[in-house]
Amino acid sequence: MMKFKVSGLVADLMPNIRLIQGSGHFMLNYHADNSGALHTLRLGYCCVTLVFMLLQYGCNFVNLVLERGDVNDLAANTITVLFFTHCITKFVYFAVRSKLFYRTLGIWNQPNSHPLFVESNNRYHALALKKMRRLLYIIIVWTSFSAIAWTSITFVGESVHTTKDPENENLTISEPIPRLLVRAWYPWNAMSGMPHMLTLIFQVYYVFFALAHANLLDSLFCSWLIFACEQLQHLKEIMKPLMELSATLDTYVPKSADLFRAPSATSQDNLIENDYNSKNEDLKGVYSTRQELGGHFRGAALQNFGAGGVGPNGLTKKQELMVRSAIKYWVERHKHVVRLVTAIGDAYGVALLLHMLTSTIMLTLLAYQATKITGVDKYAATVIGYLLFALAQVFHFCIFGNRLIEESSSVMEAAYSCHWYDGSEEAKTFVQIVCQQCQKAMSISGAKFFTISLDLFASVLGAVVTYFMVLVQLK
Amino acid sequence: MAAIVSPRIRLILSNEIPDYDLRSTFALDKKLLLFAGFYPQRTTKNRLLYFFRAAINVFFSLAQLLSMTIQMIIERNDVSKLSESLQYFTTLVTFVWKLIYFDIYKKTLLEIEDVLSASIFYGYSNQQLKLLKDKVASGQVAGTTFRVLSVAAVAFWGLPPFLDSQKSKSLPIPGWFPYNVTQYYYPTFAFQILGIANTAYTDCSIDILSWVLISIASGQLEILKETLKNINYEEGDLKTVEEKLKKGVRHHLEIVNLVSKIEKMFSKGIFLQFFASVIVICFTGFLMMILPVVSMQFALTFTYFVCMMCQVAMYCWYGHDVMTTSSTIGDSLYMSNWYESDLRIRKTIFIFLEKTKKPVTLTAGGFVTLSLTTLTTILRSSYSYFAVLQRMYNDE
Repeated sequence: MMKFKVSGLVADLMPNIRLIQGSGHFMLNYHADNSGALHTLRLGYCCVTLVFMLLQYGCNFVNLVLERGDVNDLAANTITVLFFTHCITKFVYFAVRSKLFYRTLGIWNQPNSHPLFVESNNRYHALALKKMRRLLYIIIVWTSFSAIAWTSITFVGESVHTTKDPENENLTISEPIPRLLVRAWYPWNAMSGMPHMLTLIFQVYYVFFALAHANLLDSLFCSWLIFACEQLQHLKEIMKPLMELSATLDTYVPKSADLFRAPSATSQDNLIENDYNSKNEDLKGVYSTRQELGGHFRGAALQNFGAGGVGPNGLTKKQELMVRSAIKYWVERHKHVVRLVTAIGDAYGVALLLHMLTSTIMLTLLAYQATKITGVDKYAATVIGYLLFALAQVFHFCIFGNRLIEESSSVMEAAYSCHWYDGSEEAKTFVQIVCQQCQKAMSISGAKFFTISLDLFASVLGAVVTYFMVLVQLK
Repeated sequence: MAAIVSPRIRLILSNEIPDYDLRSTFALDKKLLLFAGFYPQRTTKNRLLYFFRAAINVFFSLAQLLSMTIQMIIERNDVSKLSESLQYFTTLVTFVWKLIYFDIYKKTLLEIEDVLSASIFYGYSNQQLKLLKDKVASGQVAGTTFRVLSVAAVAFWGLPPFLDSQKSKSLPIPGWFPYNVTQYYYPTFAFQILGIANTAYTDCSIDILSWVLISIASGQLEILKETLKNINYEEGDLKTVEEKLKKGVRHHLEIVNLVSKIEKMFSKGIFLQFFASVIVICFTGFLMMILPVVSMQFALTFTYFVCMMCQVAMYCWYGHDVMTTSSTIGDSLYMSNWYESDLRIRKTIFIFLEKTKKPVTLTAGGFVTLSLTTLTTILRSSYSYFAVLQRMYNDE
């Protein structure tokens, strides 16, 4: 059997992928053994997870419809339903669009490489790996903490809800309801005993897995963005050595008298000796007058282009090939990053749009709920918990989207701040076109409607605060 | 080196387009508009019949406009009755203005047809042609949906007097007539329905024509992007590569020319359309709030609401499509192996990239860009007017 080998992004994101597969997402690739039986087993596991999620979601929804009489209950239940809507949406979205996700993961399988820039590439790759792992740990901790907090808060306080007194229409009495994580309707009586215990365990499973579904996908998206950003950093770093590579031997300062003297057949240029080329590899960009003007100051007469294989840029053939290959590496790597970012946008854009839609409605309702907080009690804790969680989710992808925008728009600065004026004509036109292209920052958009950046987060936060202020005034 | 033959001269030389003729994409709408007497004719045959058809259409529209205006003046104090008339009245007024502008800029339509037969738009591979056909197909599907919706709306206007016993002998739209309506009920009914049908189908055709044209421009941009991505700067000699690049530049210029002509033709009409849509959407929304859900009237209002939304949304969508496609031309060129190119070619690339930084936009009336942002603005304004109307109604 063929040994299962992973490379590129898939190898880097293996922990993420394994967790996603473990939580029941429909990610059926990336297994060493994909034979019929195991495949069916995995597919079965995913389908069972889907069925459970939908069942519980259905129970939540039925409960919403049943309890729609009371405004407070309606608001609370709507928030819960919306919260789990976007978990279900992410689950179903992944199942439906998994091809795009596989494509994005597979894009970085065969990156190009250049002997000069291997060290830089590896360094930034290791950096990206470290950051992606760190993000994953944070997400795992956060999800577990939220699930545990939710479970523990269920056991605090009274498990009641208020309904109209059947005898007197104007009074409200409190009626006990099952002590569960999420208010839902079940066809069996879950008040106490064995059914209650089983239902409780089922709900804990549901809450934990729903949170995991949403957060793991978001962290996959953010890991992609981290990777893209580190690649852009790598490209920015190698711009300077690239320009210096093409800058060697190029500072030609003519003496004006010599320009008008006819070149004699015996005039000898101070052509640079061959072994000077090998010394040039360790030019580290330290500005030194001797290097710039003294060391390779060319002689008086105009260059003799034919002899010695020195081209019009003042570089030898070998040098020129090296520069050209470096430029080719740079441009191809940059194009690859652009392809990766486009694929990320295609794969996840619509999911972000749906997320923002549900979040907007949910946060509006949460602002309304927040106006009814009377003290530090269970109610306040749950409302604040929901609010913080929703905002944290939005912040999670906004911050990485923003970093991508910043990194991609600073490529132009990097191109300009290297010694482009020392470079060959070819290198200069290369910088020209790169600057053109990188003026427009690369960004992820939510299906073209809005851009993922910290501006989005600020507007969401501002909107919530505004609604809260207005509603408090209206009370 | 032979001089480059201008596209116009090419057209006169050969009127036969070898492959997919772009002008065939809007053939149906052209036929309908010719029948209505509004599409400009190149020849002068059947001139009188043509004028006669146009005259009948204009007569229907203006007569209805007059009758509705008088009725509205009579009923100006009743908000609900007023909104019922206003929803059709606004459409009618917009339609009349659109017709006027269509007539003023008739020649531009013929110019657009000429531009579409330019040779630079033809001669591409099947793969690229597929990109164009997909875009045009989506434009045509949108057009067909819209047409079906408007036919449904006209049907809903015509049916209530026959199906609903309460409303028998009532007119489809409120209108004032100088005689007793019940005496000459059927002729009046026929007059109104014919007027509505006429407005609907001509309005439809104008809109669908513009959508298909915009989607053609968008498809051509996709073809250009594909061409630019595939230019191989390594193979062949300098001259061939330069020629390919120059062809791309000319293609871009021609597309920009096409879009500017489309804008000149339809821009003012679209602006009025947006203006009217805000009013109609808010009034129809308001009506949907006060009408009982299970009634013919509600179905009519709902279909009408969907029609108006469709109209506005389609303009914004296609305008946005052209804008986004044209802003990624530079990216497509970057995706080729330009770093292998000669320095001379790089200078051409650079100037071309500068030009493609500015996206090709369509505007309504010269200052409102057609894009999804405009759509959200329109919807938001409609909603605020609707909220005001609701408050006014609740206060009564």
